[in-house]
Order: sequence, then C-alpha cells, then structure tokens
Amino acid sequence: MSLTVSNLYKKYGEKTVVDHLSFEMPKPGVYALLGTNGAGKTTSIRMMLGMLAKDGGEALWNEKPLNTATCNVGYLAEERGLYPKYALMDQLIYFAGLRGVSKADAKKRIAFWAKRLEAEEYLYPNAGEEKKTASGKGKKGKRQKPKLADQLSKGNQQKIQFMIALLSDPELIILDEPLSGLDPVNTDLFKNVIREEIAKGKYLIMSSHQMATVEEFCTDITILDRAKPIAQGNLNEIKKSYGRVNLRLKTEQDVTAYIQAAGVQLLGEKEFEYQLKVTGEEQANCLLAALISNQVPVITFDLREPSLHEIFVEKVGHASEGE
Amino acid sequence: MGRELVGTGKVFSFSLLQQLKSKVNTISLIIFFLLSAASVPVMILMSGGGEKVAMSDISTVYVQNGTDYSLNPDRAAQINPSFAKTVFQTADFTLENYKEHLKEEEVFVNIEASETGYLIDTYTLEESTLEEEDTDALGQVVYQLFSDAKIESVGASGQQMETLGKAVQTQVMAAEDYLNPNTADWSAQFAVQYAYSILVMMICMISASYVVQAIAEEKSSKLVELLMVSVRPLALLLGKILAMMAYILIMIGVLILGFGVSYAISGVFLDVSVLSAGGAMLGISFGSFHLGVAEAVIIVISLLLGYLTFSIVAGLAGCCCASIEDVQGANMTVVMIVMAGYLAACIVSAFTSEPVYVASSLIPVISVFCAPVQYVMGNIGLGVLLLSWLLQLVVIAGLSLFSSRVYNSLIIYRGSRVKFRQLLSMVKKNGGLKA
Repeated sequence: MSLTVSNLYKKYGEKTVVDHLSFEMPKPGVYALLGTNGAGKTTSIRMMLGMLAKDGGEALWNEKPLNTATCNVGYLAEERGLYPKYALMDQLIYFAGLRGVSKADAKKRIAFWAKRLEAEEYLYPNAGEEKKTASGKGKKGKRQKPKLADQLSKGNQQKIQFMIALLSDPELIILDEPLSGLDPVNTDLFKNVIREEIAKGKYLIMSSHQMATVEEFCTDITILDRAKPIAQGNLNEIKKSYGRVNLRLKTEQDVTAYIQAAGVQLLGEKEFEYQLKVTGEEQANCLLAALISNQVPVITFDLREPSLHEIFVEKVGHASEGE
Repeated sequence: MGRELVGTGKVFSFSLLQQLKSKVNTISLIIFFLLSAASVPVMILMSGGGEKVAMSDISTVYVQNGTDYSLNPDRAAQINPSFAKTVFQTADFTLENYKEHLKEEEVFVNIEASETGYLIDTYTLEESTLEEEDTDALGQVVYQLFSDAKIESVGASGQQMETLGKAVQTQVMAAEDYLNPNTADWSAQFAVQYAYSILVMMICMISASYVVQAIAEEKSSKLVELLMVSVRPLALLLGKILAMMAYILIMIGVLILGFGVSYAISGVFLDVSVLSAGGAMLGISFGSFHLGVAEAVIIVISLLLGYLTFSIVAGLAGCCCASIEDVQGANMTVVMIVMAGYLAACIVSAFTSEPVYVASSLIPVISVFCAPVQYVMGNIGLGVLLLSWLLQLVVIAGLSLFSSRVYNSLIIYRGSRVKFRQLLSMVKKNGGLKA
C-alpha cells in the first residue's frame, strides 16, 4: 500500500490556497503537514479526501484515486462536532454504518473503544449497575439515560470523535490537530492510542501546531507557508542538515565570559543554565575545553540538532522575510 | 452519479429514526391523532347530526279510521325510521272514550272525512310525557300513509306509487355545463384546487423548513466534514429529504388512522351520513370527479415531484447559510417560492378555459399545485399530465445538477450567507468559495 500526493493545486478566485503540494508515503508511518494558520493544510486534506474539487493534481492510494471506495479512511477533522441532541450510541452506529460497518460489529467496536478511551460511563451509564444486579448484589436503582453530546465536556466529545475516526479500523488515518484542547491525562491517552495504531502498521497523516507532538510521532514532514511547501522530507535528515547547533549548558557559576570568549551566541539564561547557539561541534568543543581547563564544574553539556519548532520558526520566518 | 448517492439509505434511516425519537415529534403525532380522532364527532355535531336514529317514544298508535281508505302501517318505518319499534293497530274504542284505554306513551289517531276533505287528529293523555316533536312526526307519517292509501285506492301499481312518491329537485345550469356533463362545477373545482394547494403548501413548507434547519444545524455543529468522509453531499441532502418525506407520510397516515378509527367508532353512535350531506349542502357536487386508485396514485406522484422540487431548493438554501442566524432568511426564500406557486394556483382555479388549464399544468412550480387537480377534475388529459411530470422531472434534474456543482463547496463554506448571484458564478466557474 502507498499514498502518493502529486501537484495538488487549488485557487479561490485569484488567490492560490494550495500551490503544488506533493509527497509520498510508500510505507506505513506518520507524515506531518505543518504550517501557519491559513497555510493550506486543511484545504489540502479536504482535496485529498475529495471533499473539495481540485484545480490540479491528484491523490492516489495504491495508484488509484483516493476516496472511500478505494481506501478505508479515518478522519478526525479540525472542526469537530457531534449532533448535540442525539444519543451518542446512535451517532456512533450511524457513522460506523456510513463506513460500511454492520450494526452488530459496530456495537462490539464501540464497546472496545469506549473502554480503551475511557468513555464507558457516557455510553453505558448503567453498565456497572447491571453487573451488580446480575450478581444479586445491590439494589436496582433508577436507570440513567445515556448522555447526549451537548452534556459532555469538550475533551470527552473529542474522545467520541476520535472513536468515530477509528471505528472502521481504517488503513489511512488523518488527524487534524488531534491533541488540541485536551488535558494532560487525555493527551497521554490519545498519544498511546496513536502509538498503537502506528504499531499496527497504519498510515497516519497528522496536521498540528504542536511541534513537540509531531516530532514525537512523525518520520516525514512538509512545512507549508502561504500555500507553498517550503520544507519537505525525512525529519531526521532535515535536522541533520542543520547540524548540532543547539547547546544546553548547566554549570554552578556564571560562565558568560567563557561563552563570549568562545564567540557562542547566548539565547537565554536562568540560574546558570544556558541556551546557546553554536556554529558546529568544533565551537562547542572549544567552549567545553575552556571550561574544563579553568576547572569550571559542568553539570549538563547537551549538544543537539535544532528542534522541529526551531526549524519551523526559522523556515517560516525566513519565508516571511523574503516577501 | 451512482457514487454521489452512496449512503443515502443510511442517512435516510438515521434521520427518520431521530425524527421519530424526538419527543417534540412524538407529542406532535399524538396531538395529530387526537385531533383527527375528534374531528369526526365534532363535524357531525356541527353539521346538525346527532344520535344515529332516535327511536320514537310512542309505544303504540291506535288508529280510528273513519274513511274508506285502508292504511298500511308496515310502511310507517320506511317513511320515518324512528317509528320502527312503534306498534300501529286499529282502535277498538272511539274519540269519546279513548282516555280510558290510552296509556302515557300511547297515541290515539282519529281520521275522518270533513266538509273540505279529511281530518287527521292525534290525541294523547294530559299526563302524557311524549314530546311534541314525536306527535308531530307521527302526524306526518300518518298523513303520508293516508296519502298512499288514497293513491292505492285508485289502482296504482307499486312502481307507480314509487314514481309518485319520488322527490323533485330543481337545478339551474349553464348550457356549457349541460353540454359538458363530465366537467365538475366551478365551486367544486375551486374548493378542490384550494384544498389540494393548501395540502401541498403545508407539506412543502414544513419539509422545506426542516431541510433548511437540518442542514444549517449540521453546518453549524461542524459535523459536515466528518460526514463527508463517508458520504457525498448529494446523498446527505437526498437522505434528509426522503426522511422528512417519510415522516410527513407517517404524519398523514396517523391523521388517516385517527380519522378512520373515529369514523368507525362514531358510526356506531352517530349518524355519519351528515358528513357527505354537508358537502352537498354547500353546493359542492363531487359526483363528476374521477377518483379511484389510479387517481390516488397520480396525486401521490404529483405530491412527491412537488415535494422533491421544493426540498432541493430548501437544501440549497440551507447550504447557503453560514450560521443558525441565517436560517430565517433561507426559510423565507423557500416559503416565498412555495407561496408564489400556491397563490398562482388559487388565481388560476378561478378561470375556466382550456388554455389556462393546460398552461397551469405545465408551468413549473405552478404545475405542482395544478396538474393533478386539473386531471382529476377532467380538465386535462393524461398526455398533458405526463408532459407536466416530465417537465417537473427536468426541473428536478436541473436543480440536482445545479446542486451537485455547488454543494461540495457550499457545505463546508463558512463565510457570510451566499447570494444567488454567487451561486450562479460558482456554477459557471465550477469552483468554490473559500471555506
């Protein structure tokens, strides 16, 4: 299986909103679409899924046009919603049915995902009580009605929407800002599910502004800025191309003088913990040698490649400056 | 086109199920049932109907006949069914001593020749509890029996007696009506056109309002994108339209059921014949309509075509809404189109000329209201009706094509409410609006 997106192009009037986006996923993994607000990420996803007419290009799944007939797609849209006044179970069965899952099968899958995403209490409010009654313990209390969507918190609604995306056991999962608005506990829950899906050999496309999350999961990326792809490729290779230029140094005394003497750029400092930018490993080693020769105790000396966040800011910033 | 409609069934069943699960809708159906169930007895009472056949309180009628004409009391029940249980027998007493023989609920009738003709007198006891209505009705029955006896006495046969007894009605009509006996009269035509147009208007307005609301809600609840992964917008629209149509059919079914149950139960206690007499009293004769199964099918097909036309327009109007606040404006657009068709149909029904019948049956939007009525009234032939349907199908296909070209972009569009000019521009460019 493979996903090939080539020369995706869209114009609204005179304005180009996606300008020849191309990328490929020849094997399972996670691909990230990054970009500033309005860069064209969501429009690209919509075109790939056939929701929007393309002005050019194509999206192929196994060399056939990508659509629900050729590919089992799970999609968590950026704009998330549920029918506010309909029963959650009805909605889940409906969406599963639209993806070709039978009602009986859907119920089994819903039960599985409700447990996995810790949403059982909203879908099966009387489950615990029924178990008690069946075992002869406890009294039969007043039955609670299953919750409606508008009775759930935003995070819990997001769980239901995530379930909808996963109910059909999709081959290709597209997650548009999957972790936005989640508390740390639910963020970890979602991350674990995403890891499990990756381990199952699924193809994931992720669009997010949370660079740390993208960095955690993605192998390949495209950075879009004002409709155009401005950086693209394997994340590790992109990082390598920048070299190890970020240095985190922690000492027990003020070493600003040594930093200045070595010609290293100081980005920030807090209680003798320094964020530094070096030109390369040579400059970093010079600074370390100076500290050691002067018997300055070094607690942390961490020389690393730039983070995705830094690459993104640098790329998008440069692109803006070029205007 | 096939792929565009995949998932229509699922959308239909889900939308219908949610309609039926809604408490408001359930209460509405119960209210409809109760209203329709109450309508029959209310209409009977308002039409002056009452107890099925009120039996006369007179138990026995003693007849003292001083003439040569022999009365046939067996015909009394035929003349007035309320005397079916009353016993008629020849009195073995006279006017002078009838009080000694009569009981409270009995009547003595004395028939005798007078100078000018014949005299029929009815007598009851002073303490009698009989109503004056009963004795008056008895007087009329005896009068009729006596008249029959007179005719019989001259040797008239049963058939001749029937002929003489038949009621005579007068009717004034124009030569055109006389020459075209199959054409229903003007008042009936107007009434039927008016009633059918109201039915179409109500169905279309209710459903259009629902379709606009449902689509606008789906857009505002940000569900559309989630849905569009699995189902094409046209299937989404069609599923909703068909679900609403099914709900309306259920509503009509509940009304008919309520009416039918009420009619059956009322028939046991009340005289339901007054309902059909009511129409005749208003001067409307339905005798010349060609109503049968085929005509019912024609009306249903016409209703469906009209419903589809206005619902697709409602779907487009709903898609143009960017928020719930826009719904009122979108609803108004559809209501105006439906109202225009309705008013035109009402005006057209006032004219009685063949070109008007044909034109009103063929012009789209107006034809939704007029074509089936004109056919049932006998004003247009099957050919014109079929042509009317064909034109309506062309309009529906055109609207569907129009929808398919703009719907994808519209349904995920979030800007200000789209104007008709923008829609046309979208169709020309086959592009979209920035979401």
